[in-house]
Amino acid sequence: MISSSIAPRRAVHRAAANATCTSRPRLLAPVCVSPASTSRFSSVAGVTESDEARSRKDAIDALLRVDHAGEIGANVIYKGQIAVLGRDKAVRPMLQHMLDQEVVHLAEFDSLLAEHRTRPSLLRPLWEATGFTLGAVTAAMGKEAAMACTEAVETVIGEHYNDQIRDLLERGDPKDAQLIATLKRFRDEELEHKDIAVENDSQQAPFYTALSTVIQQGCRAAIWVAKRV
Amino acid sequence: MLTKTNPAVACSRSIRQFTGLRPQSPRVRGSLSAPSARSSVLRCLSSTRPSPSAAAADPSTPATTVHSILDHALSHHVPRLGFTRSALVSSLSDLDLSSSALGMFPRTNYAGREGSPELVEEFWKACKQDLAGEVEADKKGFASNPKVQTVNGRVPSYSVRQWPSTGWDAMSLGERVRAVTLVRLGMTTKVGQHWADAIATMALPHNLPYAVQHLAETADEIWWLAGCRSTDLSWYLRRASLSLALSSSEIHLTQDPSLVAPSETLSSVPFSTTFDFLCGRLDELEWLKDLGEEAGKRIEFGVRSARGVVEAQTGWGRWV
Repeated sequence: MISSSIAPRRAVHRAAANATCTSRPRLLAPVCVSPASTSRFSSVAGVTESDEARSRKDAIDALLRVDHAGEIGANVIYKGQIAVLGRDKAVRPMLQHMLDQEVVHLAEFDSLLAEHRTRPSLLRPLWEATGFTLGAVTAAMGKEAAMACTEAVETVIGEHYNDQIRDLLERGDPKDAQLIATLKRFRDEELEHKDIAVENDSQQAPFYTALSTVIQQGCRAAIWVAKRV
Repeated sequence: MLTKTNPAVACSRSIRQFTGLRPQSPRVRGSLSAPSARSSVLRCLSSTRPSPSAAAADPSTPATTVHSILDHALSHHVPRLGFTRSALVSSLSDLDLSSSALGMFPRTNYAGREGSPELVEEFWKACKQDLAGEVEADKKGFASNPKVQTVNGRVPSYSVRQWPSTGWDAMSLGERVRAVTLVRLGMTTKVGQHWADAIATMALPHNLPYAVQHLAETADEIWWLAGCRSTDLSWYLRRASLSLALSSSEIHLTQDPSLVAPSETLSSVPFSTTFDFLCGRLDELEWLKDLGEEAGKRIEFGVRSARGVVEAQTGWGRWV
C-alpha cells in the first residue's frame, strides 16, 4: 500500500499547483473566453475534449446567431421597401421574389438555431426596427435608392457569407459539410439580389456613394454586434 | 513514510495521468468502484449508506481526477455530510489520496469556509445530464399504464401523476415544461436535507456567477426537453421566468414540512408542498403570458384602427 499510493499523491500535488486557474463561467459572452485560458486547467480535470467541443460550439453559435440576425434584417428591409413601393407594378414582383427567398433563408436559420441550441440575438427588436426603417426610408427616396440599399446590404452579406465559408473550410471539420453547402446556396442567392439591384439602376441613386458607404459600414457594425450580443 | 517507491515509475505515472494520455475513456477514470455514469450518482444519493467497496481503490491504475473525487463524494458522502469540505475530505481518504488534494478545489478552501461550491456544481451537472433520461423513463412508464400509481415497482415521480390522461404527445408546451421542471425539482429533493446549506454556499458573492450560469443552463435544458424551439425574444423571457420559478421553489424546499417530519407526510407524496408551490408559480407565469398576449392584441387593434382612420381621412396609404 505504501509503495502504491505515492503516484496518486505526487500527481495530486502537481495538479493542485495547476488548479489555481479555474475557468470563469460564461454567461452571455462565449466569444470572450479564449481556449488557451482553459487549457492549463483542462489537463488536470481531464476535460480537454469537452473544451475543444466547447470552443467549436461557441464558434458555430456565433456564426448561426449573426446569420439569423442578418436574415431577420434582410426580411424587414424588403418588407419596408414593399410597404412604400408596393403599388409600383414594375418593382413589386422583383421585391417580392427577393423577400420570398429571404423568408426561406430565415426559416432555415430558425431550424438551425433550434437544432444547435443557439440563443438568438438579444437585439432582435433593434434589427427589426432598424431594418424596416432603412428599407422604408430608402424606398421613399425612390426606386433607385432602394436598389442602392439592396446592393450595399447584399454586398456586405455576400462578403460575410464568404468569410464564414472560408473559416469553416479552413477548419476542415466534416461535420460542417452540410452547413457549408447551405451557406453557399444562400450566398449565391444574396449575390443574385445584388445583381438584380445593379441591373435596376442602383447606381443612378441620389448620393449613391455616400448612401452605399453608410449602409455598408452600418451592416458591418451590426454584424460585429450580432456575433456578440 | 512513502519513500520506497521507484521514483521513475511514479513520475511516468503522474505524467501519463496529467497529459491527457489516459488509457481509459475520460468518463471512467481508474478502477474506482465509484460511479461510472452520471445516473448512478443520483441513484446513490437516495440511499444514505456509504458503500465500503469504494475504499478499495486499485492503485495500479493512475487515474484519480477532480471529477472522480467529486463523483465519489457526491454518491457516498454528500447524503450524510452535505455539500461540505468534510465530504470531500472523506472522499479523498476513501480514494487513498493526500488531504492536500483539497488544493484542487480552490473555491472550497476560500476563507476557510465549510461549504464546497464545487460539489454543488457537480450535483447540478449530474442533474442536468440525468434529466433527459428521467423524462424518457416517465414517458415510457406513463405510456405502459397511465392509471397505475406504481411503475416498475416504484412510485412514479410526482411529475407523472400531474400528467393529463392524453400523455406526452398531446400535452401543451406549458404542461410539458411543468412535467420536466417537476422531475428536475424532484432531483433536488433527494438532497433536501442539505439544500439550505448548498444555497448559502452558492449565494456567496464569489460563487454567485457560477450559480447563475448553472441555473441558466438548467432552464435551457428544461425548455429544450419540453420542445421549445423559439428564436425570438421569448427565448430569453421563457428561460428567465422559469429560472425564477425553479430557484424560488428550491428555496421553498428548505422549509418543506417533509424535511422536519417525514413520517407525517408519507401518506402523500414527500415534498408535495414544494411541488405544489412550483405549480403555483408556473400557473402565475401562464397567466402573465396570457396577459402579455392580450395586451399585444389590444395594441395591434389600436394601431390598425388608427391607420384606418388616417387612410379614410387623407386618402393616403393603402400600404401592405
